[in-house]
Amino acid sequence: MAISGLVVKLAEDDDAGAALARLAADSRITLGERFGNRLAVVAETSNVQADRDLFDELSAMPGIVHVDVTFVHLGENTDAGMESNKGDVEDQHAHR
Amino acid sequence: MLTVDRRTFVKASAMAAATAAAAGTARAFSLAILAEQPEGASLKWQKAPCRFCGTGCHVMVGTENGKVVAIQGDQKAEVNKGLLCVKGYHVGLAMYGKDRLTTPMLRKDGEMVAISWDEAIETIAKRIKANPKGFSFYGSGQWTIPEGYAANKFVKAGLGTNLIDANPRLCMASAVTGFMSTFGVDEPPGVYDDIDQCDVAIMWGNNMAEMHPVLFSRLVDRRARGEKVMIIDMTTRRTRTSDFADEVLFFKPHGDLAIANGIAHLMVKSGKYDKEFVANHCNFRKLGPKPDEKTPPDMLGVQMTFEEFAAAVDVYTPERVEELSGVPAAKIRMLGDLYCNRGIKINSFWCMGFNQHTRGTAINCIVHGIHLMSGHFGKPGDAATSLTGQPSACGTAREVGTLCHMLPGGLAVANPEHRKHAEEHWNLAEGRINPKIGYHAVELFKRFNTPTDQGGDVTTVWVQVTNPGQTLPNLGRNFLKKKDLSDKFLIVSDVYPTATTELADLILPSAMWVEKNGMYGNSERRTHQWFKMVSPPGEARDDAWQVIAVSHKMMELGDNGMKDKDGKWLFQTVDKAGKEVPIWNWENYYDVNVDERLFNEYRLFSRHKHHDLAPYGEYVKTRGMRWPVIEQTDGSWKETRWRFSGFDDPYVAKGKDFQFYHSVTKDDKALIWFRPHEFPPEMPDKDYPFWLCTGRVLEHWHTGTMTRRIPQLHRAMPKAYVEMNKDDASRLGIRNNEVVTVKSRRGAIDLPVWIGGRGDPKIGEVFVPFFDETKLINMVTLDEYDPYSKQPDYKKCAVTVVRKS
Repeated sequence: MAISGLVVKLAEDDDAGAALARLAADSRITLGERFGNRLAVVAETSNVQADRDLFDELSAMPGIVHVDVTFVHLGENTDAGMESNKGDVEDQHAHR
Repeated sequence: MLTVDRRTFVKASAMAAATAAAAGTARAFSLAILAEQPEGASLKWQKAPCRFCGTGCHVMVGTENGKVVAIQGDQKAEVNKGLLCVKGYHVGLAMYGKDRLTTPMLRKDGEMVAISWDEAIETIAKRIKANPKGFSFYGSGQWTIPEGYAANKFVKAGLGTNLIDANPRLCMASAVTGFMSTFGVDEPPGVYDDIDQCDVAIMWGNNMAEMHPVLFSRLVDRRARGEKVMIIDMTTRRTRTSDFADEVLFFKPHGDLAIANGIAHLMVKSGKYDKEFVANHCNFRKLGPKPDEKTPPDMLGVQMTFEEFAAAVDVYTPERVEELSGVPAAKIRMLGDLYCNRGIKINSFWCMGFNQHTRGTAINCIVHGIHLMSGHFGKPGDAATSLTGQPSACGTAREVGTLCHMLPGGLAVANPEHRKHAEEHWNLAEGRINPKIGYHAVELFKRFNTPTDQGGDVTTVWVQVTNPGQTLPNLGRNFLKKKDLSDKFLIVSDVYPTATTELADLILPSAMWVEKNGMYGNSERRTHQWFKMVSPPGEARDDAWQVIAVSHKMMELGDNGMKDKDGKWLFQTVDKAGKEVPIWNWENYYDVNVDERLFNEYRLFSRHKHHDLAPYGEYVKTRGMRWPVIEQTDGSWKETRWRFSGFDDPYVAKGKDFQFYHSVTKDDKALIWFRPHEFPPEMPDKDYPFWLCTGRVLEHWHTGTMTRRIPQLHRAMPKAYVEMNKDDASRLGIRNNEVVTVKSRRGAIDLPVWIGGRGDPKIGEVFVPFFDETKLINMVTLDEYDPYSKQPDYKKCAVTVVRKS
């Protein structure tokens, strides 16, 4: 499980409404309060990779200008991360 | 207390943090929710600056069962106001790569063998004691302030040499010489608050959106709130910053010198420069005799009149600047009009584009001069802002002075009075500080990679917290030759295996970030502090302890240089009862706060150049303070935002609007320099027809030693590549993803081609990122450097691109 808190900055155009609707319909996202164009959201996904993918997806979504991270819970992912990059590390070491 | 399950608790915490940041205020309910932990949980939150760039964002680090398990943007931090970028998101994972170094290792018969710390420390101590003049330290802008201070004192007081330099030589040395030449003292007059108040943000070769995203977010946020903020991106390649810009002005490599002179030309021609500010607060200056073997580079230059300055910039008409830079004359006029408009506030930004430049000092000086001439200086929103890439390039390398020509607190090795101050603070005999400047980074490694009997007088190098095996220019000449020189000895303290540990003779496993106490200093003169939160893995230990232990061992072996003039050890530390604590023993190192002891000694240096720092304890209470920090009559400590400005800087004499109190010309005036446009030392030709620019990518931090071990970042950007223009690729018959050889006069590497890539390079230009240790682009780069700052140019050299089939 990975949980992160994000601030989504919405554009000042028609795309913002569509983006807001997409966020509201996304089961991975819980919408929070909106302050002007700044919207608090919480993302809940299966692991850190999925959370990162969601971050990238939001950053590229029409109607969203920018996404900032405010909170990330790594939890067991610190151990998962150590294992999951095993191949990458070996790749680096093999190069030497 | 309300009991909630863990998932609900974490989600509530995440929402609280996001809500508070979105609201732009630290709401009380946020911390209240965080306090309502699920039963049995023991999550503990403590403050720390982020480990990555020089922005200096603060994070709240959540630890549980001896591990970092959560990261939160710190809502109390003025720098980031609760926000983090995507690298900050991963900062907690950077410590947990599978291959952390956990035990000292010594090369014996060609193999790295695990040894004890005692053997490691004794090996180093004996090696340095045998030939202190052949020893050089090479550190980093990632050294904490106390770590850098310990290393600096070890070399300059203990060994009586100045053979220490640090990697900021490769990243912001030209910013230092720019500030020194203009104001007589290093570091920016302005602060990040300028970002919140400027009307126009001009990026001079600076991809702020990706390299300093939280700062860029402040600009974007203002726009999104309906404020009018014009962004101008001057660049050689398209970046994410370009996507937000009102104007994107592509210029030819090295064309920035022409553009800046063109703006100065227009100010003079139009007569719209700030005559009153210039008359009252500025002198004009030009270079003295051209440096050669007999004439060392002179940063003082010679006086020139305004009329001489006007004549010198007269040739830089918009049309001539268009020829030199490729930027249309109309756009040069637009820039001139903007800078001449005193009704708006302008903030110029730069980073590696200016500094990694064989005329880096010149371009820094010219842009400071533009701001001084136009009066866009010293008022909130009007500033020339140099950004840094490492978390403590300013705090440690520049302020602690871990460079071969510096002493702590902005003092200079070459200045007899400054050496005397250092001898007083360190209680050394008169004359102990060596007046001879040491070797800058490139020279240091050239000598280390030259046979000893051929002038290679650096025989032992100790590298801490940096990776010169990947970052030095022209690696074949400046790093890899060591492999065949059996009398050279390389010591590397690091947290992971790197391209540098590959050639090490002795590897020391280090603690990182919140595995130790620390202090950093960011790009706006802000000093941060944090406490150790978790233990380092295995036998990894603090870098400062390593230096202190070697110092003590040298003293045990009879080296009297490690004692002051009264016979006391240079790092002697006592507890509150006045009893000596044996901090050279790792078991006792945390019996006292060694950071506090070192910092409180270091801060004595800070008064001489008005860098005043508060006592250590004040930084514990805050999210950093910007120096000079001055004690108030009520005992509190007040930071300074705008230096040299009468309304904020306590060192400006009462009644004065501005006072440049470290003026090079000793008359409280800043200098406006004329520096001509000059062509770079290597340009494309028929054999090497492409310009090569190197740089960073969003996913990775510098050499990737931390971020390549974070699976999510590694997967997002696994390998380096060469970006090419589609017409160039088509002309050469190169397909996307095809592996080609990128070759210069110095070396070659094979890389897959990314046609267009992220930067959409112009015809005749290619870009390669430097994060990938399996594809070392610095085999190819040029080791020519700025004659004043000694900083190499990683942004321009000539290469060819050759198909392999």
